[in-house]
Amino acid sequence: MKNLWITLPAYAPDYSGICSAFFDLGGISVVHDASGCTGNYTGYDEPRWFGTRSKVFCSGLREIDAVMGNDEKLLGNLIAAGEDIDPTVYAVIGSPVPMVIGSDMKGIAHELEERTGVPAFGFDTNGLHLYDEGISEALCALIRRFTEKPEETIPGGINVLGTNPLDFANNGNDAMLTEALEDRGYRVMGKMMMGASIDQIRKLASAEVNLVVSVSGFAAAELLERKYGIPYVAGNPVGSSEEVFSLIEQTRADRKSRVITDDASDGILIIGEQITANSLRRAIRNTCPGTGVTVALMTQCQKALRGAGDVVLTDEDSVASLLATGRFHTLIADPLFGELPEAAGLELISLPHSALSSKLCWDAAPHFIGEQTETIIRAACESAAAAANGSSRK
Amino acid sequence: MCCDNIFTNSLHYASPAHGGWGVLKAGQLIPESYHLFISPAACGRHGSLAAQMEGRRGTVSYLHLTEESIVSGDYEQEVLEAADLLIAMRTDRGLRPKVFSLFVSCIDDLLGTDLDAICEELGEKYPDIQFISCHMNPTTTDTGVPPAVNIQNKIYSVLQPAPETDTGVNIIGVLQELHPDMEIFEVLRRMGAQEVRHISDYDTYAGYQSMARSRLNIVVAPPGKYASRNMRQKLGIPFVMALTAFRPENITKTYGQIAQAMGAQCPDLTAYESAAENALKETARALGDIKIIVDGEAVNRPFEFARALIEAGFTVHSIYEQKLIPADEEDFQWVREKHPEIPIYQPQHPKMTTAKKTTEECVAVGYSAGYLSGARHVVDLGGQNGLYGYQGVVRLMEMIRKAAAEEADMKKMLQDTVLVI
Repeated sequence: MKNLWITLPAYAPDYSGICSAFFDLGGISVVHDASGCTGNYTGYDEPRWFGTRSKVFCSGLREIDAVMGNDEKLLGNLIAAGEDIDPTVYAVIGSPVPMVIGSDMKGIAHELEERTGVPAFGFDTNGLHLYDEGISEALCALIRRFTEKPEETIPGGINVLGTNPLDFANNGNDAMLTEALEDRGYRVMGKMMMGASIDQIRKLASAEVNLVVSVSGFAAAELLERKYGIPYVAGNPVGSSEEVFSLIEQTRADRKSRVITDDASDGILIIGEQITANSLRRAIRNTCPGTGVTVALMTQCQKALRGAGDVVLTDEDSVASLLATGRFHTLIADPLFGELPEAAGLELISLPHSALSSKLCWDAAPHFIGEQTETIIRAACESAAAAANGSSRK
Repeated sequence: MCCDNIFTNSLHYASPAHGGWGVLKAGQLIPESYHLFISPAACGRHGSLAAQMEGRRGTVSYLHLTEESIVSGDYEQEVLEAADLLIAMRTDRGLRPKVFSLFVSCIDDLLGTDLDAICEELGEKYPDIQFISCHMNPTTTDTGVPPAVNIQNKIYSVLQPAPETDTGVNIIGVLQELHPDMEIFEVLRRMGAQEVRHISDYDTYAGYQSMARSRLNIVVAPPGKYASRNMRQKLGIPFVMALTAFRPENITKTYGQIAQAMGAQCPDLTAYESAAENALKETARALGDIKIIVDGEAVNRPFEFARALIEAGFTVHSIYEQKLIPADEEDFQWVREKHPEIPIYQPQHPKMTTAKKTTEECVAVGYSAGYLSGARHVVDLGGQNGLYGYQGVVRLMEMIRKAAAEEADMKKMLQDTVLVI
């Protein structure tokens, strides 16, 4: 049945994406909710939460405030918290109840900025959309507000757009990516959003090229291209593949944006975040040419990144239907997908996705660069070979 | 955040140590029950993941509302269709539910879905299944019936009046069963109770109905009071408030009240009382200069507990409590008057994010106090975890001594504890 989720949890919501994007900025983020929405984020969507000094709070929204539309209480509490904490920015973040009562989060943020002088952002998130949309929205809002027209372009300057712990876990993937770029002579200027700062955001337009590593960073890449003429490469370096680095060089040379994407075909099904899934498909095809791979997306699907035949999945039922078609022998996805009865006949290659399985699997999330993902690529090729020979590795 | 700033209204900080069972887990205590959560996708995420982590995911499904259905308010048909599908699925697996709950989240209080009408319609279609409406609506936290209270009422609402009463008694208010080595079982038996019943004792719905035969509800934690009032009305079971206490004299008084409610003589409790007093004093001595940090998320009445510790010779370093409950008011006043030097912190106050960790040698009793204070030693205790009476004191003292002897791995402790806000 449509919208009925019997086995899988919901993906991390939009408001968690906003909180995640603001995590490193030294500001105050407040989810306008009673407690559970903030609890989603702090308890299940933020692997960096233990031991952090990041200031993410819940507004403590109560029935009477909702009924009376009492925004003054929220404003007062935000200002009081700001006096203690001295934030760089505020993010005022919506949840389902503010949506229903029609709270104007942007208006509240505007009022807050008027009263405090601290830059404040309002987001009309509502828990009906996903984290990647939240990160996209936050990143674009920050760029529109802070990014300055560059005095010069830094040769070899590159921004990484789209790192976030819901797609990249908290296992050092972001640092490994920075290191890989620096090893190849690039100067990583903006780490959006793992390791971000307001100062970095100000200087984003000085970069020569943007590397978009998750779909959460794609809207920002398009914005930076539109506004400052910075081309981008949409691809995530996976395994031992050098392709992304090669594309960056080509893009530096001809100033044309590039994306990694291929047409879909049957055999292996990857369910995951779009740019990593596309990059993984490319790496599998480069390793074992002719292998059929389809990318299916339960999270944001960008048309520009979508291969012909790639599938958009809207709910658990649509996943089950796709798995039951018999078109695939192998599933590369979060382990929770393996619990669907329709996955029983498929070989499951585990690709933990924190945005879905949270702390159930985030410690097992692979390093994208290097041996761990190379192992996934090899397993996919072996599975394809076994299927071609009529035997199953399962 | 210190003494002059206690119990203020502020933004809420949710530390990694904050949380508890959540309403879904409580609802899942009903034997042979199935649950349908109807809400925006986000609302069910943490409960679903927690259920997965604890092996409870098989008895709950989620119907995600869309913008269109929220705007139109017209999702009744979707709920009915989902219920049909799930009941058929469970029946096919030989697991036809006896109770089917419809959970809604905060927005439903504003949308005003007539859940009772849906339950009634489903009840007519499936007369062998009880349908109940449940709420995960923390927006009602400051009302008389917050979620933790409401869900207790719901789980007992499926009990049906029994034809006759027996000598059994029910333990109400705590969702986790009391440790079998708590003396309350023996004391109640000596007061004439042949059975001491708790919801977690039952695997079947039929077995669970035996709680309706009990002659008395013993309410050991405040969230059970509202449910007990309604059980008195519906089932004719009287109740006695017998909140968990840590001061031996309070425990003795509580047993006296239980005896009175049962119309029985209170047995001689001297040996139990002495054991508790000795455990308190010996532990205070054993700890020496090590101080105690008290956590309101670990015990229901942190000020009563703090007073018990102080009277036994402990040094209380600080107390973490978000909001004073009426049942703890008297001991709060005692602590403030006799020991104004003890700081009282609100664990959800934004200032906790900038507070310095303690450098003193302390044992924190509870997760939030442990995490927020940075104490080297932490007692692995959330929500009282089965402690009651004199033996509860003895056991907690053992836990404190054990914690004092080792350095806590707070991260691992929290990883092993599934918390839901």
